[in-house]
Amino acid sequence: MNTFDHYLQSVGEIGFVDDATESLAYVSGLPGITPNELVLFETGEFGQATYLMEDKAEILVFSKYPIDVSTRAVRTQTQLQIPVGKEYLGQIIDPFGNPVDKIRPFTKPTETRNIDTRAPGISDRVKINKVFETGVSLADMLIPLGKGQRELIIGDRKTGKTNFLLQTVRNQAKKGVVCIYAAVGKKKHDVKVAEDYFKSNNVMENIIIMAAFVESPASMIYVSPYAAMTLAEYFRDQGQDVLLVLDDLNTHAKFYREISLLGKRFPGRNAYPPDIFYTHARLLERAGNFRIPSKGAHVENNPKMNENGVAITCLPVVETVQGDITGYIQTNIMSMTDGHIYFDVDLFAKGRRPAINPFISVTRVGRQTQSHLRRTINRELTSFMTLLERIENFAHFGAETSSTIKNTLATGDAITSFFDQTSEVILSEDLQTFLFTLIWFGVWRGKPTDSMKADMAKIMSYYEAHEDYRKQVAGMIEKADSLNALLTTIGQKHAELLKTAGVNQTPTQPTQNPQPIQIAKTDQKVSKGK
Amino acid sequence: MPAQQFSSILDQIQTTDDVERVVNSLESFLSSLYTTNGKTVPEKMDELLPSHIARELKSTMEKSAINPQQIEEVKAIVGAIKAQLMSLRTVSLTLAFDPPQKALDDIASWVKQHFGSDTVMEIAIHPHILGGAVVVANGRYVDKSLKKKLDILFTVKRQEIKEMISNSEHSVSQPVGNIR
Repeated sequence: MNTFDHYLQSVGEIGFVDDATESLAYVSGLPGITPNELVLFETGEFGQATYLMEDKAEILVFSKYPIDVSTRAVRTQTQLQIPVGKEYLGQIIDPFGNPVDKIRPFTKPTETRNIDTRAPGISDRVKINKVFETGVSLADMLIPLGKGQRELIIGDRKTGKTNFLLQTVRNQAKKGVVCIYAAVGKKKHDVKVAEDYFKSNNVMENIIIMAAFVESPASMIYVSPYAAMTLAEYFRDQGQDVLLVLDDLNTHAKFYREISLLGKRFPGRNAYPPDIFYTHARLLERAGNFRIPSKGAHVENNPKMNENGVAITCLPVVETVQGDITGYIQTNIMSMTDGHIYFDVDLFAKGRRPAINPFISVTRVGRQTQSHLRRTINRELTSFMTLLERIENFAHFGAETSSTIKNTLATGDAITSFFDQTSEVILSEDLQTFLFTLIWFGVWRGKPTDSMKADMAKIMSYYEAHEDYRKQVAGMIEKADSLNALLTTIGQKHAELLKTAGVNQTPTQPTQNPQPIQIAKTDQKVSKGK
Repeated sequence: MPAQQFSSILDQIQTTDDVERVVNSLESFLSSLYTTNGKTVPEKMDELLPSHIARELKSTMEKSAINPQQIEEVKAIVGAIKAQLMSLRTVSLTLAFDPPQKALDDIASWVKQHFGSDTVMEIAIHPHILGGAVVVANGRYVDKSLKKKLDILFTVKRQEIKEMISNSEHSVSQPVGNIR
């Protein structure tokens, strides 16, 4: 940005601050000012014109302290822009692209982009067709996501949402996806924890943390998600898939409400401004799977790029209070996203990690990206989990249960134990499929879950360390065109695979025909397939 | 009271200092209307208002057939004049020197001609502009100062000026014997 005198001489217009509150200033003069134009004050602060009245303009000031009355202001004839570039990878920056700390060596990028842009239309979009792996088996198997999907992460405070997000970001960063974590109104300590997590897992070089701390001006917190999205769009235009986490939009809505009420906008429901839906919708619509411009070296090197598209996957976060997902902001964001992952406080209290409730969670477009095998597993697992829940409710009464129900409960325990995953563990899709199929086959039937977990840990560590083992498992999964085919293969090879991974197993007698459990209708008993 | 009836008063007002002075005197006059010190309203006008304002006000009251003893009517007309004065638009002028009265009159008539008769000047003196004026009116900023012109000149003709200076230094440093 140039100096105050430069704009005064070049534009030839001047304004004077007549009134000022925190975050807002009312400037008279500046006859040619346009909406959203950047205004520079003689003290060095700057702001954005948000509302134009007959004799003055309301300026959203990006300063912690109110501007003094009679301060002069000039137009810059530009919109609010941020620098964008690869230089930001590995950095923690504020919404205007300035590094938060001065420790890391840093060169500011030269290219700038407008923060507020229009979302691309339908003709610029491509169907979501690539799998998005979170690395968390419960999410990937029951609530699959696709690249370009907008999936809301919703739940009470302290239910593990941020841990889940950090795992997801780490998994995607390891695969080379550019990850942008936007901390909106967070404490510095929380951002530091995230940074330490990424550094300890050696993925920081693919991650940008954009932080608007809770003590920042409300105006800066308001623009931070838009700035993060602008940065995501830059990397998308370079041909790179991007993951954008917005943590969290409740805080964003609260600060926007504060600004609107100070600006004397008529309050709507819950005192939020009437345009709160538009505020979030125009942000989230900028995510998706896009057809990138036909020119550019990245397209020439990879002609399939326009067929598969380049994705900005967005994971906005919203907090609930006492599990109430019917709140205003919560329902707004749920209606503009492609599904939600619900973190249940009751499951968290029971010790489930992650505390995702698969029955309340929804994914609208993730299943279309899955292979036939994964879709079959998803269907089987969903039916099984539904049945399991009903049986568990029934078993609470303490009535005597048949052996079938006992087997179902035991399998349910094994599956639940498999889904329990700490924040340090990340499972690839193939590994998830392999471990699940072992459980479904019955490798650990009749054994305690601790023993199963120990065996799984051995398999996981062997899998991570040996490429040939990974290839063997991947080949086995690729050849299977159905779950039954995979179960047959597992039946033939499981002993050898487990022995290779260092798991001591008594050979399991396979069932006569390794069919999956057939899920009966509600009023019928469950029976094994013949 | 229509505004054009006050034009004879408004024409006397040139600067924001004039406005402030007249408004203060009108307020003193208004507060004196309810004090009994044995003076009539015209006498109070002569005492508390500037002479030209008092003269014009009496003339305006005569034309409007307002009885000076009717305090409410006097109050209304004075209030209207005060409101008119407060609504005058301001043109800010930054000059390098304090202008004499003749120059001030010329500038004031130029301002009223170009910006309307309902404008007054706010004059600030800043010697650093060297000459000319910086004008701010209706949100527009025009810098016609000598300093700006010199800055532009020095920027455009930087190289020529540098050569001129170095040539003059060279001619000064010639030995005395060569100058006849």
